[in-house]
Amino acid sequence: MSLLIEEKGDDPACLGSLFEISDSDSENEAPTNYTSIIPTVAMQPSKEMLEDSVSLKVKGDCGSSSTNSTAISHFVTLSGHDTSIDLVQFNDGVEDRLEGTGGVCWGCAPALCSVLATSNAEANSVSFQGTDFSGKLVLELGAGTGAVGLWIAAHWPSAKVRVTTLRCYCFLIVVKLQVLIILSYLLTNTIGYID
Amino acid sequence: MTDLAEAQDLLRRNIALNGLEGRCFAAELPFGTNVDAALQKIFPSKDLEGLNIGKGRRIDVVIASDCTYSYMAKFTWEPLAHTILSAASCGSSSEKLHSVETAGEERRQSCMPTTELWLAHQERYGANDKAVRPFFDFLAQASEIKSKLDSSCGIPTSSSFVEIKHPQIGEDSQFYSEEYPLRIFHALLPGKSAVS
Repeated sequence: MSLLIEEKGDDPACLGSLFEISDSDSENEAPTNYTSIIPTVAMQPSKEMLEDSVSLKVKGDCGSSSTNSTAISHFVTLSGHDTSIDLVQFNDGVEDRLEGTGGVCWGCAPALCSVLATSNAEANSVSFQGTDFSGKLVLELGAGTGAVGLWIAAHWPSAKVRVTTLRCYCFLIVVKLQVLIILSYLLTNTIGYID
Repeated sequence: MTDLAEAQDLLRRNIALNGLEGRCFAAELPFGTNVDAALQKIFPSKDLEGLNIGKGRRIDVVIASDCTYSYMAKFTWEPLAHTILSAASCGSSSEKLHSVETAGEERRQSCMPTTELWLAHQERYGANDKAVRPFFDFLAQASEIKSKLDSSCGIPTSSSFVEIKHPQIGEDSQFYSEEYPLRIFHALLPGKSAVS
């Protein structure tokens, strides 16, 4: 099997470049259920893991940031497995709002940290083994608040972590501007029609 | 709604808040970027000292949490997949292969070290099972290549998809439900030779 990645040019929505990825050898259609390819295991956490799972707690308000954003307003704490980090995030993360999406510590972060910190013995009940990031170079994509990357850096002090952001926020701004332009155009034309 | 500068500001603020400036760095990396090509931008030379990046040191681990959601009712996964695979193939082949000296070229190509991938997914903004399936299928296929190639080398490879059903993982139960289970995807991805 040979996987092909072909660059198609720049994405006008500034999300990066456009790519087309294909399997050059396979003529078969993709299966209808991804679990047919990927072994799926329902994880039943051990007692030890439950007692020391990484949790996410709202710590309190912290006011607006030094930037022009008024959305930064909450401290949260990600803690468990003898590791604790504080995070500032956009909005409260309770309402599933599109605004500030990338700047909120969502539920996947504590779950992933819990799994990463699970020891080999605990993880034997599922299909992967526990991991040790000591001395490793870690790259977090679409980091948002940087929750997982920061937690890894705190939990494994010898790990080197790079947390990266994307341009999706720019994308949202472009969408907003386009909506405003359309509304402005419609309003202008309507007024002109009435006149 | 935030712009890129604010996103960077948030990351740097959180790094400083936890006193992790020396070990954790913030950088811009839009999905779709080739990590190998953007290496100097992501890892400025002063930060590379001691890391040996660009001289064969690979990125050991790639993580992404809550990155599988939709914009405009569509989950566009190709750019993210491209960045993940390019991160896995980062670094020069000669250094990657230095530890496998006795085998032939074909065997050495097949024994390149892998990059560990951890993805955490929960359905949000319409990125349901059907929408994200091609993405995880693709990554599973990519890791399967490595699994086949490495069978003669004894390098353990795998991909797994773990659904966390227990609601007590994390005390903040607002994120956990039977309707939208959390899923953790783990895979060992191949280096450059397996992705052409």
